Amino acid sequence: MIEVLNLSKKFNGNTVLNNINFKITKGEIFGYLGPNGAGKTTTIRILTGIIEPTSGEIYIEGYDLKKDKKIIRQKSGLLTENPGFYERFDAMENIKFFSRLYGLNEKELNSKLEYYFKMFDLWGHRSKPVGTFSKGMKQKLSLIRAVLHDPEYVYLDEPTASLDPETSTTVKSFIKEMKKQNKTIFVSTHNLFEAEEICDRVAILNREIIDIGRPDELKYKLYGKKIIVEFENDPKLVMDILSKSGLDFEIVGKKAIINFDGKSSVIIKSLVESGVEVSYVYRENHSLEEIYLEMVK
Amino acid sequence: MNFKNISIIYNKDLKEIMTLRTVKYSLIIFPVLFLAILLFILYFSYMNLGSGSNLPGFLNNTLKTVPYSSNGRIFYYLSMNYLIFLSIVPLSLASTISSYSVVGEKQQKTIEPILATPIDDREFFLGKLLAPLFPTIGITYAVIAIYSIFSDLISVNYGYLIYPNVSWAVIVFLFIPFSTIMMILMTLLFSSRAIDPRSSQQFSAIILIPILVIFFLSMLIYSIESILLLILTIIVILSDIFLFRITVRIFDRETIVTRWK
Repeated sequence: MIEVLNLSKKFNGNTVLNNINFKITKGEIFGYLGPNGAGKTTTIRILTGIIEPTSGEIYIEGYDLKKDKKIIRQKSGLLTENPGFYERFDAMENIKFFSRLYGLNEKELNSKLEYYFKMFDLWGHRSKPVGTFSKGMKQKLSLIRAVLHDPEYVYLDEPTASLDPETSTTVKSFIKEMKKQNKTIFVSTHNLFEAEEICDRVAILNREIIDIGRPDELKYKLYGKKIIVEFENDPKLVMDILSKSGLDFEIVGKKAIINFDGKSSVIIKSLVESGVEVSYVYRENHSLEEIYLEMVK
Repeated sequence: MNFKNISIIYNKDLKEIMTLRTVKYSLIIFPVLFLAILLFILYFSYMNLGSGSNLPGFLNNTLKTVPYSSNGRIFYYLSMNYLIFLSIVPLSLASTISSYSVVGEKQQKTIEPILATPIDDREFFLGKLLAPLFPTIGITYAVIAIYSIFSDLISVNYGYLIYPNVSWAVIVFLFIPFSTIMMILMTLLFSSRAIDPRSSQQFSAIILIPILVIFFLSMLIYSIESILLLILTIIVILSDIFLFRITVRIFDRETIVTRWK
């Protein structure tokens, strides 16, 4: 479990993170959403022990980040925003260098390298200099570097930024695969559709946490659970019927937008019995993007 | 401290430097060329020493403790002076390697993934310090060995062997390693602010080379006075300690991640 308590970070007196609190349970995919400069990368750098917080406490699997940085770094894998490879070294040499710093021995390394390079379709490119790789290939290589030492906590900073759809799908599938292995995954992203697709919970951040929850929870919290009923009758008739029922509603043209947390069939039944000719019924759906934009406004 | 991590950084840095053709060749060509020139000058000087050549008064006084003939003393003096000039070889090599080692990390944005591993700041710093130091000292010692043997082959004609002697030992085992460390620290300091290796090399050379030239000039006059050489070397060591403290502060991970751009 990752536990962040009252985390703040200042650079030269400027507050980058203010009183951040959250908990991430084991095996969870946690999305971290926010505009540029919101503090997403700074949070990841603090959680991975790269930089120190100005104040606050962080416990990862019970280890105190202040005292047990080396243990925590050993248990963590990081996919940085910029892939960061030695351009003149080949792909294997690059990964071997970083893996040695994680303490992997040659025997362990070689078997794992073959497995991951084949999984990401890089086996045929293993002896080519990384400088010749495309952005997508570098990102896949970066993902291999992040997981080769089998970390329990994986931090992904913008994992699919500027990737083609095919590579992006590969990366997302791999993230889901890691969840199956009970790894805890922290994903910082701008891509809200992606967050909605893969994350169990998300935090919306703008230097401080604006809200945390499951994507659907956040939607309901902001917009409520709304049912939209499209009808053929005179709107006045529908308005009269709904007013008598005491529901919170709004009529827009031949649509009734009803705030209702229960089963939609209850409403439909009462409308039909009162003579309303119902043509369509659906729940109002907001994308995470709409929620995000509303929240960071 | 994990010495394995230091050696991983050290080996990677060396390997990376050797992938740069220009750097690789300059590491070989510069010392070879410099040595060839010095050997030529030394031999030319030997060939042109007339019988009973005289030294200027102040040198005659300084060299009076050297128990050789007049020409033998002159050759001794010349050989020691050229040996001091050889100190330029490690300074140049160290500056070239260390400037690439830091700026290369910055240009390729590899620092963050390194700092995310269990390596600590001191291990990273020591790896960066040793990567230029050992090969530089290795090449320099090879050059000095050739130079010393060549000098001895000539000095045999005067009935003595110049090397080894105490002053030579102070220069080779103290002055050269510590002035090389000084150059590396200075380059690391400037590399943390520089965006390309050339500017970092130039900055460190601008600052450090005039200081070292003063040392060289002092040594040229007092090259056989091992006590004075030792005092000058101690000044270099003290400067190293001072520079080391400043550079370690710059190798703090927060500074590296946020300011090394």
